[in-house]
Amino acid sequence: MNALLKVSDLNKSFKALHVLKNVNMEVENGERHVIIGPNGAGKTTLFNCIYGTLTPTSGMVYFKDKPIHDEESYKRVKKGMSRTFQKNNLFEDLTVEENVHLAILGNKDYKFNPLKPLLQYKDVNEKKVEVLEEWGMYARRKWLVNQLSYGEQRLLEIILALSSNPTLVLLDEPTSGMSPSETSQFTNFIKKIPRDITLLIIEHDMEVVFSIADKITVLHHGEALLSGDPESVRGEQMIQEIYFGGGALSK
Amino acid sequence: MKRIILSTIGLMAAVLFIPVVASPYVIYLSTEVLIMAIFAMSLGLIMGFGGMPSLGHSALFGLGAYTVVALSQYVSNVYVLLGAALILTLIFSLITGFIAMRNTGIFFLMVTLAFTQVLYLISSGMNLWGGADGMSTMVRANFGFGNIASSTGLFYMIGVFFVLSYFLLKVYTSSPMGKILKGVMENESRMTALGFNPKIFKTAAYTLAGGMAGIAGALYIYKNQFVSPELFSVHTAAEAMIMVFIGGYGTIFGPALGAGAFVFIENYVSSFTDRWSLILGLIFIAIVMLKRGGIIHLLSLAWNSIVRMRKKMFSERKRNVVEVKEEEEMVNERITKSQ
Amino acid sequence: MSFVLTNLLSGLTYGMLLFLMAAGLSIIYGLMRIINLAHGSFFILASYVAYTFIRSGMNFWIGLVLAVIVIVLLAFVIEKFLISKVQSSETDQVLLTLGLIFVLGDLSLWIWGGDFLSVPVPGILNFSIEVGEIYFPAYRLFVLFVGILFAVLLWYFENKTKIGMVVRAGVDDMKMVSALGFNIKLMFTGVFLFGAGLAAIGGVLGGPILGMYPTMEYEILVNSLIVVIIGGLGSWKGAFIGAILVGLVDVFGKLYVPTFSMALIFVLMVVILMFKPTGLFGRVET
Repeated sequence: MNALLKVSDLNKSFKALHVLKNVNMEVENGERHVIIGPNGAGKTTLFNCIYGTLTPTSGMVYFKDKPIHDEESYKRVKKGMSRTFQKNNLFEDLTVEENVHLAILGNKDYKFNPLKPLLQYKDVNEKKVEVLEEWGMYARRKWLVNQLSYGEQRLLEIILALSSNPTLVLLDEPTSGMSPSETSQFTNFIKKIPRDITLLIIEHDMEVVFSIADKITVLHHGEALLSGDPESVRGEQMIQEIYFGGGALSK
Repeated sequence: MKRIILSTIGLMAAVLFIPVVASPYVIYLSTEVLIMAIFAMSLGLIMGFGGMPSLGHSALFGLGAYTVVALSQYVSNVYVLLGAALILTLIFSLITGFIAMRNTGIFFLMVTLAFTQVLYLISSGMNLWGGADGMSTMVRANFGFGNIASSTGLFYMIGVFFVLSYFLLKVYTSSPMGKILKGVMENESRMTALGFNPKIFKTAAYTLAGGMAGIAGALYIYKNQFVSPELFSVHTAAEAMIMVFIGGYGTIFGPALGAGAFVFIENYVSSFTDRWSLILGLIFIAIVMLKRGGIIHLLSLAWNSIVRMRKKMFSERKRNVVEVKEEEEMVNERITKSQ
Repeated sequence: MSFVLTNLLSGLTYGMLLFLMAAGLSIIYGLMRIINLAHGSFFILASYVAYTFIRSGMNFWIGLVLAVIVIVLLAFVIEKFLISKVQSSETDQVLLTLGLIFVLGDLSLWIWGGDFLSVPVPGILNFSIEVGEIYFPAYRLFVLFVGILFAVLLWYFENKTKIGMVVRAGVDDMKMVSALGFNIKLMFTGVFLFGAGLAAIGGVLGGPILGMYPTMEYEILVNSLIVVIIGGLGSWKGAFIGAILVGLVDVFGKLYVPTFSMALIFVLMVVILMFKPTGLFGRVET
């Protein structure tokens, strides 16, 4: 089988601003693929194009061997994608469990049922308990989102992304704003996610990157400079110079 | 579901009970309340659960009413008349909803307002159904067990529709469709990312609310036997909006309470002044400026404080009992010591 | 032919009145994100006030100026004590300004009654210009002239003056303008009063043509809302083009398909929205 996700010759410009330039990349089944690159490299724009939040100017995105570049993002969820956002993007006036309910419903066919109360669906309840317990948020299920700490909200973003039984999850800087202990907790959680879920992650924290990545793609000024396993990226002289200022990775 | 059924039964009991105790005049007014309650609850769905402040809702009320009047010239069967009103308003709101849903916020408001005004001008310009003067008709409902002619009978008939609407809205807002609607109101773009097409859920709610407003308009004819372009006016739409706010935004039953308060206040005020419109406008302004919730919020606030007070009293009593016991023990001790 | 030309003039005149209404509505929304449904009430109230002044023997032009001043003062009170307090919530704005329509409408009904009234045409313009066999009422030509004059003035204001440029920048990005240290509050009040003043001028000038009657504020409001939707929010150019379109469709529609003239305007709006959801020249996305 081919790669789960294939991006080929992807371009995105905003008027005169050319943000993505002929980006090519592949994400294999079960991989933990991390995208790194300095601010403004176009990482989030790449995510938005993969997820359908933005339409690419040119180029193709294949998911499970089918072109999806012009599909609305809600259709991609049904095909098995989900994502988190760089800035918390939650339903602040709803409770934690209501947030999770919505995320679970995203991939259910009975989301169009107007006549049966949501809470009577057993699988919704089971899935909710499962994800909330797994991530240690079950005790907080009745809290409103805006009562949670920032780190907990970050966590809830990830919980939502995992609630729709996805095959590919896009995590946009999941650890930004987390405390060191939350970050290490997060890293452990990521390692526990079963391998039938593929992860594509944008991450700045190099410790996190090298502890979870199978493969790293470096994005710089909208170009995918390099893709490879962590060791080869760590050793690449050019990368060290332009991105890490040299030597930063050898420690 | 249990709670929904219980509250529906409670509501049914209340509706059954009113004619037993109320004077004929109050029954007459309450019938109007029930009609407006159906109308306001349907608007409450799209405003309070869908975040769509529509000024086009009177278009559907009026359309339902006009359908009954126009068809009643040829048929008298209540199933046909109500069914036609329902189907027509469902279709109309589906189409207009589809158009209006291309826009959000202020554009949505303007587009819905324009729909209402178009129907208003067409109905007052056309000679067909009385033009600007309106037209009266003579319809009696017969569901298969005799004509409903008495005012109590009419009250019960409309009461059935009211309770049904309440039940339907309760179920709808607790179903996946309803929960998703609320999510779309809270954060539309996030819902897209979670796998929902927001337009479908908004249009569905808009259509359901439209059909319900249409039924309310049709029932209005059974009570008033008269239709005029006034029903389409922005005034009617604005009145429904104020009912939603007086009663309680974001709840199902709140708008029904608001309809009750509105009809009775209007009736009372109109009995001694012609300046109802002025007073209504001032109520609008006051509601916005005071930033208080609706009646239902005040009621639940009162209820909560009663519950808290009772809890407090109960714990005080318990403490008293403990103190008394302790005293008794002390006395007993003293007695045994002295012995 | 003469028939078409006279009606063309009527359509353009009505368009100019709508433009004066819509320009204010559009820029108030564009800058402040306030939907002022009571804008039509300013329009009709101005005609009523001018009517009172002029009927009591005052010169038309002085009556015009005084009526505009009265409306601007009223707008000032409304902005200061009501509008400025509800800026964040759209639903609150709708409720509040609807309430204002009710209050102002019922007060006018109380003061001026429910009959159709009209402001007399000023003596100096009470004649017709004859071109071939066609008579053009001078007053309508004057209104057309005033409309175009205001369009030019607004264009100049927007593009050539400093305040105009700040306002325009504010429509695009309010945050940036406030970061630059401009007094936003003052700017909002200014724009609101300016918009109300434009509506008042339109109202007084429309007095001899449209007349005044209860519920007229809704009609003028809806028509100018349609102008704004068609032209695009926050754009004066859009309001101008949109107003001419709506004015012409309205007049010719009433002529050929009397009952459905409004529906015609509406179809126009829907068709334009289908292709350009932000209107012809819209800069504001909601």
